[in-house]
Amino acid sequence: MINFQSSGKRTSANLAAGKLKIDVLDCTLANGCVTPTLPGINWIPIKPATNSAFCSALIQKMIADKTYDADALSFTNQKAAVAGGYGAFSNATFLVIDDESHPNYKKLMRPADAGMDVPEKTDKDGKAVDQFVCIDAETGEPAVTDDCSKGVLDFEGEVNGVKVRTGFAILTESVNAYTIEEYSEITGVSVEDIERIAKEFTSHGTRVSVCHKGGSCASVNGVDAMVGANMLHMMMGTNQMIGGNAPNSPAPTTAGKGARYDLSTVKGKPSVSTKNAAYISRTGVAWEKTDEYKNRVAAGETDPKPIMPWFQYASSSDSQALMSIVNKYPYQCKILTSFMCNTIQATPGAMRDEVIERLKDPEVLPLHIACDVFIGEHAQYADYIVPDVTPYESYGLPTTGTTFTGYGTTVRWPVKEAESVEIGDGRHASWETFLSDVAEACELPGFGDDAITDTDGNTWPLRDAGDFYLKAIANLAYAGDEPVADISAEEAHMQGLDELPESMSAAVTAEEWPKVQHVLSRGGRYWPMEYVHDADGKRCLGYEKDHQTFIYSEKRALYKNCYSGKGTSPVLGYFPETLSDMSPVEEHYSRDEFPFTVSEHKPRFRSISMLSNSPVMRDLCDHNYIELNREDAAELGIKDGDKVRAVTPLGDVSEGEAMVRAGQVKGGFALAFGYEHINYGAQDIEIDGQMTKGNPAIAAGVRTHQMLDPLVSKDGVLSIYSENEAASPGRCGGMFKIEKA
Amino acid sequence: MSEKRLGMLIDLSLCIGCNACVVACKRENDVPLTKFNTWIESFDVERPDGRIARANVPKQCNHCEDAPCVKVCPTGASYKAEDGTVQVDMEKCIGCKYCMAACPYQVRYQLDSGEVQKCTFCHHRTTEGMLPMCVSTCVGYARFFGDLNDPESDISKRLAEANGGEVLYDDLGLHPSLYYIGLKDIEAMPVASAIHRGGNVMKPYEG
Repeated sequence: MINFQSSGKRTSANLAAGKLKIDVLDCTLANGCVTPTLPGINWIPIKPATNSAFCSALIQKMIADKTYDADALSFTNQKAAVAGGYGAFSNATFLVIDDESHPNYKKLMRPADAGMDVPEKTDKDGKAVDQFVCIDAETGEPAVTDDCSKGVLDFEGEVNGVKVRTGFAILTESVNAYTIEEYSEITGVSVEDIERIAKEFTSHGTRVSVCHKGGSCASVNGVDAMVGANMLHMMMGTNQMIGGNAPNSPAPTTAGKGARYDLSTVKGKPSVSTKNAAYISRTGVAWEKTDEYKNRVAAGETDPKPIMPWFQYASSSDSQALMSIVNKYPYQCKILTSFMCNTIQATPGAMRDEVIERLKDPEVLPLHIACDVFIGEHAQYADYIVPDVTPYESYGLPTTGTTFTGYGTTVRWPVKEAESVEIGDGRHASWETFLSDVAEACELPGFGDDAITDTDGNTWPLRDAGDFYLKAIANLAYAGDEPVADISAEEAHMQGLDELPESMSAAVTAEEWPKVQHVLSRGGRYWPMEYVHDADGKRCLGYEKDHQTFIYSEKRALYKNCYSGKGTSPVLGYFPETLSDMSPVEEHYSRDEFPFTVSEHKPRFRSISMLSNSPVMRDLCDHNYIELNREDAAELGIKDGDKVRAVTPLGDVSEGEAMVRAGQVKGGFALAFGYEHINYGAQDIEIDGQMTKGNPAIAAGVRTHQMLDPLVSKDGVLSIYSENEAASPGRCGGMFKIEKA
Repeated sequence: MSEKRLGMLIDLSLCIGCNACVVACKRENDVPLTKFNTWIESFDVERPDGRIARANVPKQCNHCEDAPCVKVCPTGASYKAEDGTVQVDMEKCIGCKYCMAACPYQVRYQLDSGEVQKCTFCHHRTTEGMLPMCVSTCVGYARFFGDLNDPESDISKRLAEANGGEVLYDDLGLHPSLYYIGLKDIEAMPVASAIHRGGNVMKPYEG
């Protein structure tokens, strides 16, 4: 992620100034800050899908050398951590019931389990909150965690006759499951580098951080990679600390209950939640809690199994939703609306003939309406395509995506009139106008007249994007202690903001408009950095609020796989990739025969699914490559530029041109995503009898043809290789053999 | 020698190979497809400590003081401007391509209309007091630009700090105005991949 431009700027400058040291753990050496002559930065090749092993190795070393921040880990509540100079606490000292015969086995100990009679505590809504037990470091006696400041970190014994251990003790055992040498073998990172990095990470107080994003977790054992980064932060007490794990892009409420408008409350909204409905993605509900399970049990089945996996802790997943749709499971999707997405192209393993055939079949999916600027792979199979507007013609208030820790929000707004068809009232076809008009026609709440309420109780209509986003911008303009100043007439004139259409100014009050113009003129609103920094210059905005790291995750401890009943580890550890029943994939196929794993990375000259239509981008890069380590290539007799194939045990083939290089980890091959389109301008398109020929150059390159999950993909079911907890597709890892094409 | 001598300095430790300069240049100068006024050569190298790093070396017209392209031009279309840069007068260019053959840096190309084109250091911008597009776009602040003859300019100060910087093909004695920091260090490191121009293979890796 340090290759992102905004962070790239600051990262290089700080490295050059000797103020920063970075080790970049990546399967592939990207273009970025690891240049030959910049000091303080190293590329450390790591094998795909082994990030949790690397984190476990570091933590093992820190625990063995006692170099972690024991103070930070020992605080039992936020108040104690704040008093001690930190901004977060953990449940490292909380006791866990370790007695298999106990009804609350694997759960965190509650006062009742400990025989403690303590008054109930409630939150601000009067709801009872859980209380937990630790061994008070001061007295050596069991105590409620809220009632002491520090707990004993490494405790194993009995409380009230119940066998207990601290989360920290369980973590220690878990990360010691392998030796450092074994972790080195698993990850490809040398013992010397593991030990050096463990030492470095513990040599700067709280001013250390693991900079990781979704890609580091994009494997079927990815949750532990994310947990690993969180553990490393907590081991050094860096959460909410400046120079440590400071929160990214904190921002005021804009598209919610803001300073001027409530943009999140819909009067008369039907009550639909995971309590009374199931996501089509099979997420957010445990299999045993589904109606299907209950009905099948009631019908006499014992231990029924679903035809596709359920993911009780995952929030939502477009990839899984797509696979549910083509399998008509757990229910048939009658109408699909897709906005500016290319889920089928972006889901490894999904873009295959069998999936496409079903997506096109009205018996499977009766109606699919896509709204997009392009006819990408997803939109190609829609029944209707509603033209959309481009980024230059639309609104947005993006706050995420960089490592910027300042407070505020960027604003995107239409700098030109949309090119899409005009549909009356000065409005253009777009996702927002489509939603508004359909909702009004169906008499759904939340759109049309009186859809939005301001803080004075007045109501406003919602029929176009500006009706919503300009109010979000007003919320931004008025956020905090003071609203922004009115724009001066001179500046408004200079920037042409006095010529904006009346539909824009009419979306907010006359009083708000000059302040909205002020925000538009600056492309957003950001507060001075002091706003997010505590007066002592050590902690970040909001550090007093509860920030707890779950060293021991009770939720994960209680996870139950819907096929095998197997659980997941409640603490960090390295667990090899598994199939849908949690059995290691290497038990099903031979690693000797399929020795390679894959990793995907962001392309420099494409986006995830777009930009192949840009002649300039194609000019800069015709196609991507199958990136191979030079030693692996030599063993396989593959030369730079050879056509090669990566083949899964199920026979899926990814074919492309080999890039033989030292900047690729041994044992893994890589490719940049965004290539090998089949549509998006690569296809011939006929509209109203007019044929537009496709451009084969748009189709160039290679994408990962990942295998399906073989245990579930049978009897007509098509299910992707997935993370069993997060539901995310197995983008990295897997099993492949590589051969000359 | 003209009073002013505009030059560019690229700190290779700061070039992250994002190619934003290449795209900005194409947009600014209407560079046709398949042609480039500036491009970046990217490749893996073995650092002296044994680790692998990714080198990114931007290339473009070096605006040589003793420019061979100017010497061979039969019509005076290629000429030295008052600011020390090498420019092409499109009206005078007959498309003979002598200059393309003479340029050791191979930075010139022929337009479909016959004239030869190359980086102008954004002459149309610098004469209006602006920086070349690649410099103002540079994400990592790797590119510096200014008057090499003015010891107070940013570029002169930066060059002084870097012991005068380095140039490509120093031995040709052409006195280029495009300087680098870190070029010799990178040239001394073994190349460990194909050399890419943008994302396309310019020179395959022989292993």
